[in-house]
Amino acid sequence: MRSETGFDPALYDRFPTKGRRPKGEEDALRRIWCKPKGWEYLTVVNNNYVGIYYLGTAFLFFLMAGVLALLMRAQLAAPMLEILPQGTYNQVFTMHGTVMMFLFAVPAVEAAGVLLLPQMLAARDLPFPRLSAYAFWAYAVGGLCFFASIFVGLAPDGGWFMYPPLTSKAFSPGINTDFWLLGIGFIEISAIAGAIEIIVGVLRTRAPGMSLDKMPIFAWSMLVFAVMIVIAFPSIILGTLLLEIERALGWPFFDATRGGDPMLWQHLFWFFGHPEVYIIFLPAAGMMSMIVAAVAREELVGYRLIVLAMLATGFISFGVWAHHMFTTGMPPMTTGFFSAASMAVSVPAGLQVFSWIATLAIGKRSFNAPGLFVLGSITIFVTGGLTGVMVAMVPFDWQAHDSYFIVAHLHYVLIGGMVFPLFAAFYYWIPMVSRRALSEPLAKWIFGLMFSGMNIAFLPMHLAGLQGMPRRVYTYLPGQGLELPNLISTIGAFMLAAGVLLFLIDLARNFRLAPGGGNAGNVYDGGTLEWLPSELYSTRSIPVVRRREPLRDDPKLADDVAAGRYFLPRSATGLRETIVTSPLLAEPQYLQIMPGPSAWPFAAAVFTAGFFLALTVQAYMFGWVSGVLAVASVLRWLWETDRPVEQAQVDIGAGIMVPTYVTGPSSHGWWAMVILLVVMAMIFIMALFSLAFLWSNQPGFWTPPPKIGAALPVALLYGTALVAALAARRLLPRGAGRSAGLLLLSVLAAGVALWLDWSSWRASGLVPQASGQGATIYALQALQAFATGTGLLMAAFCAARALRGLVSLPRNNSVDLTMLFLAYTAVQGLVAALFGRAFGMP
Amino acid sequence: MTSAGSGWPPAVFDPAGPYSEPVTTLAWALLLGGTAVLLVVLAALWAALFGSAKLKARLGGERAIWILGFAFPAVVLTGLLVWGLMLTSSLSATRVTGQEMRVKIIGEMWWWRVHYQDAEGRETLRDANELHIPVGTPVLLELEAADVIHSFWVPRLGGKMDMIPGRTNRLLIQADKPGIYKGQCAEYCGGPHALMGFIVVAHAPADFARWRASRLPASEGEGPGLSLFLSSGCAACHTIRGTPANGLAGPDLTHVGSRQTLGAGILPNNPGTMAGWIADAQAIKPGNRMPAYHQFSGEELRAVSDYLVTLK
Amino acid sequence: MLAPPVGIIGELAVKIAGVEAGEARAGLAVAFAAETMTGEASRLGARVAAAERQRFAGGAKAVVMGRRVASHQREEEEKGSGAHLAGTIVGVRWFPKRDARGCRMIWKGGFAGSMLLMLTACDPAPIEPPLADAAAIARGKAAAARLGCGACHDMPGIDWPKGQVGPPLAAFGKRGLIAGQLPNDLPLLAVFIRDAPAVVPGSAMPAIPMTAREARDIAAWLQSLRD
Repeated sequence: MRSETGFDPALYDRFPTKGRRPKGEEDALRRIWCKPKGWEYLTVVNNNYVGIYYLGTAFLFFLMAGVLALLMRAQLAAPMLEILPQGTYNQVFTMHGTVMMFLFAVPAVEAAGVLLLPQMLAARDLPFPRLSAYAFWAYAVGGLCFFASIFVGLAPDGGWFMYPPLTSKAFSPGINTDFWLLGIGFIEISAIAGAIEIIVGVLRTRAPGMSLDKMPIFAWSMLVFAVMIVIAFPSIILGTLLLEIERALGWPFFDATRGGDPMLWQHLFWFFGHPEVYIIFLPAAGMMSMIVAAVAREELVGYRLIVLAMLATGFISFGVWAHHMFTTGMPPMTTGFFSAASMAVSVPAGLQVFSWIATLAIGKRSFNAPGLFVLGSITIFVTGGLTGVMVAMVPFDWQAHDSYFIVAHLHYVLIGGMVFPLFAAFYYWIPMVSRRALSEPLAKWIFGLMFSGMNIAFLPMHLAGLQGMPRRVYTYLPGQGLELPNLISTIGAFMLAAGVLLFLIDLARNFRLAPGGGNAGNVYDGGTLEWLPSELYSTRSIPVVRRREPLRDDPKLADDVAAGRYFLPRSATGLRETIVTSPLLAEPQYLQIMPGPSAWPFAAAVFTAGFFLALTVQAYMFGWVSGVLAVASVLRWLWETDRPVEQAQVDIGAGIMVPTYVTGPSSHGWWAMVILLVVMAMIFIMALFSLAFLWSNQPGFWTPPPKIGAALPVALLYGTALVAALAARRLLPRGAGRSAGLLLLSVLAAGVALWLDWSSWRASGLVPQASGQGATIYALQALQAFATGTGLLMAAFCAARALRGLVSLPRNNSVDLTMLFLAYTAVQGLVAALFGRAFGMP
Repeated sequence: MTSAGSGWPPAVFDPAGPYSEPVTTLAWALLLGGTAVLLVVLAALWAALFGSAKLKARLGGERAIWILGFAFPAVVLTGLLVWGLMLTSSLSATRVTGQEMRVKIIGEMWWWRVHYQDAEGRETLRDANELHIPVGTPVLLELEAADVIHSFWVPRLGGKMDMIPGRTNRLLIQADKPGIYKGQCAEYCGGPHALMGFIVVAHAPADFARWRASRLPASEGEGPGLSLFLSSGCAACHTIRGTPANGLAGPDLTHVGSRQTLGAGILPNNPGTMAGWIADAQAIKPGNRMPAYHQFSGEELRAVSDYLVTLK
Repeated sequence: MLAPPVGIIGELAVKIAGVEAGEARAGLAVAFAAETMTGEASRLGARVAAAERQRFAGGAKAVVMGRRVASHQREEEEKGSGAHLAGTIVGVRWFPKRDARGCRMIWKGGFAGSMLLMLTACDPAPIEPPLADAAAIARGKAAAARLGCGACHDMPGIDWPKGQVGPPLAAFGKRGLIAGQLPNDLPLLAVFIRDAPAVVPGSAMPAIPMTAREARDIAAWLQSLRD
């Protein structure tokens, strides 16, 4: 076997070690990863808690959005009912879609990742526990406040897709739309934070020996999920930013009368919106693959195929967004391409379905609770997939688009592809975190109600759509034959809800949280590492992984792990720690010291929520104070991190020594920063796309840009900024002060460059309110200003640490990461300056 | 009006012209084919659980996955794609011969302006909320939006097409039999989007010519109804050609009396509904832009509505 | 004190006669006949009749046309309900058979005004004529929905529209008066539905094109609404 990092794989043969571990090691682990008490439940960062909080909150949103669905179904039970007035209904359907997609589906799978991944990978925690906590609290506080807007009639009412101009100030003057943008803002933050966490977690904290081809399929799916978030979410981040700027400041990005274009929003929204469906589906499919294997008590058939299928899904899904826009008058060539891609994306789904069927075929037949939900999921999802192929056919979509046929289709896909797998996952994994498993007899009833209710609710909607019932209608006229299908749908919806209610009762009776050990254990006989005996510190020791389902192949593994006969049977430094391994072969590289509980992520999240909420309700003073406090809290939490420990090298078991502080491209912080920069670059690229799009669609509104020669000093200054940033890292061994000075110089150069660029545009007479061109040009500069401002904070942070002697020499992670960020900022500024001038040159 | 769709057969399966008929064929093929594939998958699932050991062994390998999960869909989908592409280009309004009747339709919150045009695109006649066409002639619709995005959809005559501010989209429709075809806005446009209906009335060619001739002259009305109409502010939003009423915000009422519906395709048009609409349009179509006119006495209300229904 | 109701009955006769006969002359003839019969009503009735004379001569055109379309159906149907026209002219041929105290009254002849008075004096209990046949009621409901009566009236069983311009018509069958002025009697109601201004001149409710049969069906449906 070749080595990736120079680590000798023969060392793995030292495990399991012989003999007994010294007494007290386990108690020390328990003490270090101790249980929270009282208020400390707000400051925990351990994934066992944050994951449960996260999942619980996401499920709460599922229930609340489900109640909204029942209200809608009640209103539509008969024609022209007045249970919900028109305005309320429009708010309710908007909230139902938004909450289900943004506040339930994405966070739920992300939560599953936070909860399950460290266990499956046998890491002690995810690599950035405080980031997880921050992401969770921002999402929980912000999401709940956002949801509360419906109780005061201020909920958004423009649909979950929020098409301008309906959502522009002219047609939605209230703050309802701003609440939507706010609610989405939180989920953007938490999704990006979660994605960074999961990518680094999956690629860098796997148990030694767990090469990519031995990774549990769920981890693969979460990896693809996270990468897709990194690529797709920037589009909606930019879209929401632009829409909010248009609403607040009148910059006409989407206003066709002033050189904007409503189609720009549709492209930005769906470039995110369609991958979003797969973002939700893939992790659920990953769970399905795990559960199918466990239910069949066989190893998954077609593991490689499934991985390939997931990668293909992720890739193709970025080429299908315009199938939501077949009726916008795109030329047949374009629709043909997207039609082909939309059909192609169903092939990998087919591969996965038949892999599951194959696994069931070779395995044992069992109709336990997860098994039932798996079967239900396959049936429903395949139905939805087939109607998906139907609507991928452009001429058919011209009829089906925006009708109830689509409502039926998307609920089949999402309920079959995500909700049923999630329920299967609840049944399958709850024994991991609860003292008791859920009730099997009750599960049959729950499944029966949910499965039949789902079909009774949504099957007739296909018909209603083909009869001509459009989506998003608060009512329908009598005498069009729509009464019966709608009444049936309503009955089905309440059956589905009854199933969920029964599930809640089951939860109340049987769910007893036991994160610190004493859980029900491996009820369904899974073969992966999450079923090792574990406590709050995860497993006592971190096993060497030699196969895909280690528990199935090595019956002694659990005992050896619990007896500490593998990696890291103790805390080597007396702190929270986990092993960082190489991305491909998972060879141990270094010991990461993990941050412990802290109130600051919680505070930062609350102030972040306060900032957005206050701005939405136009309490500006309070908002800005909150914003400053949020930034201060983040800096305060970071202040405690990035501190080398006394022992430079420690023994992580069997005499294998690894360093405790690593900088540069192999450090987990570097990885996270690079991913963050990819996110920023994607946002920036989307902004460039917006400029190019408006230029090609609204050329009549274009004015000549300032001369390209004027950009020369701008380019020189950005060059200076880049060089200064790189030099700051290079010259760090000569002193932290000098290095910090160079970082500040880089920020200064970037700031002056931006100011010069901005003035030349002002001098050319272009103002942001004037046209789509003005709006996007100044939006690019606003993005650049944001990057520069953040860079300033980071450089100042490094300078402050240098003053306090907290910067380690000759290498330091804080300086490294600031350097990366500033280098990126300089490049982005340069591209912005040149690109803006390139469009519309005479 | 009443014939315009009882819901059975479903509109998409009850095509009435060459731009909807092939889609119906496609829809049937997709529906039946999709059902067949679903049955195949369910049969495979059933076999995986209850089948013979031999069958299970066949299903339980990568070969089966490749065949059923990849080769089979790839072949079927390629075939479908070719069909879809051919159909798309034959139905798209990119193929225009110049022989079509031309009409510009502008979506408004929550009604439709209808501007009939001659072959050169000059406006010949204005109307609202219903489109009259001769049977057997393709009609090229130029679709625009005045405020937010709407979508024009008359399922029995063709697919839908969005109306987007700043753009002009084109859609071809045609009816092969005389009759009334119901349409509806399909893109969520806020407020009473659900009640933004539309009808297409297809006439035999001779009837169409008669209809058209009847529409050309301006109104010659006068009397208490008209003076009330003018003095009560109605004229600020509505035009009645031949009278001083020239408002543009609302539908043109020059021939409102001969329309089949009121309130954009939702209410039958007769003196009673006209009076009800004038007195309290908000109760009928909540959120629409027409205020309730409570100030009329009974006789005044009747005078106005009687006047309007005489505008044939 | 007696004048208004009695007068109304007189007017009614005039209107009904005119509208139902479809020809102004016949209508007037009957109206005058009714006037003589209802003594007290004569003054008012004559006035109204005079005012309406011209209207019938011209305005009845539409009605006549409508009637012609539906005439042969109507004739068939009317066999069953008796001579509708005649019955109406003589006021009200029958009235409910009971009240709370068991008063049983069969009304006949041309003394409708005083009879109404007697009823009022005897007991204010709701007047509930027997239900028309179910088919007519169903037809009436369908016609009301089709014509869009909901544009002004909130009517039970019609989901939409539920206008508020006119009074809601729930439990209309128990209501004593039409438009607050006329007794709630089926033939009369039918007339009112079809041409309200003709019987209640200030009414906001316009004459609505429909056949007499439709009008009677709708009236039958409305009177069947009792809860």
